[in-house]
Amino acid sequence: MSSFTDLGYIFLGLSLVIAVYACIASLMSVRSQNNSLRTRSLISMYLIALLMVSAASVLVYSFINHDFGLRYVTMHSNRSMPLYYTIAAFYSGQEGSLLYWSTTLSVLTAISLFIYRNASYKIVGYSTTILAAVFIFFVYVLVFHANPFERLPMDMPDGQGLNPLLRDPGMLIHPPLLLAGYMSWTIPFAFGIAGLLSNDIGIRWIQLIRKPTLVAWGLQTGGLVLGGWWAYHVLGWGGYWGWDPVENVAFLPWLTGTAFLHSIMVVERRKKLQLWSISLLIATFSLSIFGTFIVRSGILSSVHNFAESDVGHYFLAFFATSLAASISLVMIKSKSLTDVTTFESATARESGFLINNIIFVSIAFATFWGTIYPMISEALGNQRITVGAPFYEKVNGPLFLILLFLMGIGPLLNWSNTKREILLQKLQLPISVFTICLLIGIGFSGDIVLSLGFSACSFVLATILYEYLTGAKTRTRNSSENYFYAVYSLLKVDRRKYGGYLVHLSVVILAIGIIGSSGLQTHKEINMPINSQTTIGEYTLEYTGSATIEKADHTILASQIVVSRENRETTREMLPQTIYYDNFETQPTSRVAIIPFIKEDLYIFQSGVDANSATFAIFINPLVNLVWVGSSLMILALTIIFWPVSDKRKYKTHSKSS
Amino acid sequence: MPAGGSESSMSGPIKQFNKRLLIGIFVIIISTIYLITLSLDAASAIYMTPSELVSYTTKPEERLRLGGMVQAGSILQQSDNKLEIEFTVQENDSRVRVEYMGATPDIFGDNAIVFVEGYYINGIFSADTLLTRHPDTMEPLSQEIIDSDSNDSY
Repeated sequence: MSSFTDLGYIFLGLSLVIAVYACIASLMSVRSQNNSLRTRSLISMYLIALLMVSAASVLVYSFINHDFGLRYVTMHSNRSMPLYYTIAAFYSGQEGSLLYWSTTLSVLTAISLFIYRNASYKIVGYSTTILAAVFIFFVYVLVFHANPFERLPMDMPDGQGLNPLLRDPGMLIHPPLLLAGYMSWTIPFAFGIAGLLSNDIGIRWIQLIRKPTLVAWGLQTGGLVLGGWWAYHVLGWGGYWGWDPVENVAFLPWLTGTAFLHSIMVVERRKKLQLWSISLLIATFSLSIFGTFIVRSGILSSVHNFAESDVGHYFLAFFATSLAASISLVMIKSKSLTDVTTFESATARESGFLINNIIFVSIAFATFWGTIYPMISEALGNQRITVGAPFYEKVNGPLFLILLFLMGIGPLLNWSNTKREILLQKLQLPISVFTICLLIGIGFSGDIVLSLGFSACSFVLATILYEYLTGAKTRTRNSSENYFYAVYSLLKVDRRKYGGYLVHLSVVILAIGIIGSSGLQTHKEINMPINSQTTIGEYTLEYTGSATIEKADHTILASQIVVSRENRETTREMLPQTIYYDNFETQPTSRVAIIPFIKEDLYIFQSGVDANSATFAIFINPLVNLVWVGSSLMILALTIIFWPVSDKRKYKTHSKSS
Repeated sequence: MPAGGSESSMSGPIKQFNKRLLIGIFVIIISTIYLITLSLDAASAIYMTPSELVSYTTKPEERLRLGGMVQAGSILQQSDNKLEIEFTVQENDSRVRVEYMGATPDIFGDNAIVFVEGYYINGIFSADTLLTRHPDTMEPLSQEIIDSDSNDSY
């Protein structure tokens, strides 16, 4: 047994050595135009992926095999855990999650380099160097400071088990997806810097960088959404996003990455904002490293800090070095790359993108500032401060609102300039829809802020509708297609444009969900004696008692609540639970009971139970379903955009867009 | 932050910026900074440990955040309203009595690490939010964990 897990460590060590070789060889291959050296450095990167997957497999195998001679396995699993949690325990601790990070990086690196191996000679070479360098850092930390294959002095009979909070189906996917999101920004970053090094930031560069960026953006989006889903179902405070430091740092690269996705369209079409885009990319990568560092170091006080250790120092050093190197490179290259920076018209599409970028960066800056302000304040010798969720809501709320409006105007703008009359004519439908919604909203509720939020959503919906309808109208006029088929073929012919609108549509749905669930939430906290009733909204809840259920490795304490609804015959039963896992009796975890009605969720968290009563926090979360619908649709739309285009059609779209 | 790139590109040979666009950008940046400064004080709380709070002269309107460990056996639930609780947050020999009304999180209990926010009036900390820390460590919760929150190491 012992020799087998040592194999994992040997794989890690070999990867490190080969990565150092690949890093140097690829750099030399660019300098000397040596083709065989270049091939060898590429093959090294493929080999590293193979070694890393093997190392990860060794660890997974040790988990499945319950090898309690391995420190990491002993700390994070035990014999009574179901298989899926045993495997998920792989990335539940620091060593494992770093191994996961670098393994996924090596695989994504190998795939990207393989796909783009015939792209520009210099860019591929430089990308290999940068990717190998990032990889070296992570494997160095793994080999010398966070070895997941460390053995205990002797084998243990059983392990500790997984942290109860992580024992949730959402936890099987959320952390790996979020870590993969952080990790995957390395690829566009490497390509981006490689483009800068080879003075090649043009159409070819955009084509190279677009897909890796979409992959990273999609992974990051998925990670954030699943994080929200998990928080909503487990933490029991009725919401999905709390502006907690760990959430904030995951949100930061998403914000700058989204700005980057928009700014490269300006680079592509107008050859403007090149340096700005590169800077956004550098910011996104640095924030990803910062995020991994924050999660891994426990430097910020947070509801869910995962680990605290000295590895943080290495991250800080790596973060500072890569940021300093990137910024110096941008400054060196800025002279030779200075692009045409003219923005002659405020109503040009590129100006819309510029404003979009300024707002995204402003939101990122505010979020970043709120997150690190406590540290700065303390470092300056002032009092220790904590910044609460209201700060982010007050600052980011208005900025997101402007962003929504912009989403309704931007797509209607032409490149370089839009005539005022044409813009006003195009805006007729959105503005009327907006005005009607606003008047109805204020008339019925009197709440100006909420009405404004919902009306802004209707404004964007109208724009998307207008764009689809005018596009379809043109098609029906030019061909025999009917309206519905025309809408479908729009997506087929110009997938980027109309797929992009699908993403916008999902964002609006998500926004409606967020505005509804945060602005219209009702909640009460109540202690209920057995067989007593309470009402909230249109629901009557009766608490009928609690029971304990013994399971293999945990005990469940569940309460029964019978829910009846106004004017409905049928009743439904809800079972909010608290679970006590063996070895973790002082850290119970909750299973919130949720009934998802179409317009709202009824959400019950069990706070405490005694002999003849129980305490619950009861929430009604209106429109929260749309949060999940919108974000799923966003991933779906992204998949549609990403889906490979057949060669024939690729030719068509190209000739159209050029 | 990517400001470096934008400035250098703006300083290029050709710069022709639409005035209205420039004003728009300016307004967004200024209002963001204004919103940040305006909201930061309103939404922040001063973080204290029990020992600091005991020797600190507070202003009643000052919002505070108190972090520490719940003293074992100190939790008292009102018999007529079980949502009303009182407990003691301790750090070494310093203790602060906290009153809170509402449902408590899962991990709340004896020896749990808690963060409460509210106001300190006449020796009683009246809290309106109660958070518990989810520790990922296998070791028993120690005082160092609380101390690590002070971010001294950086």
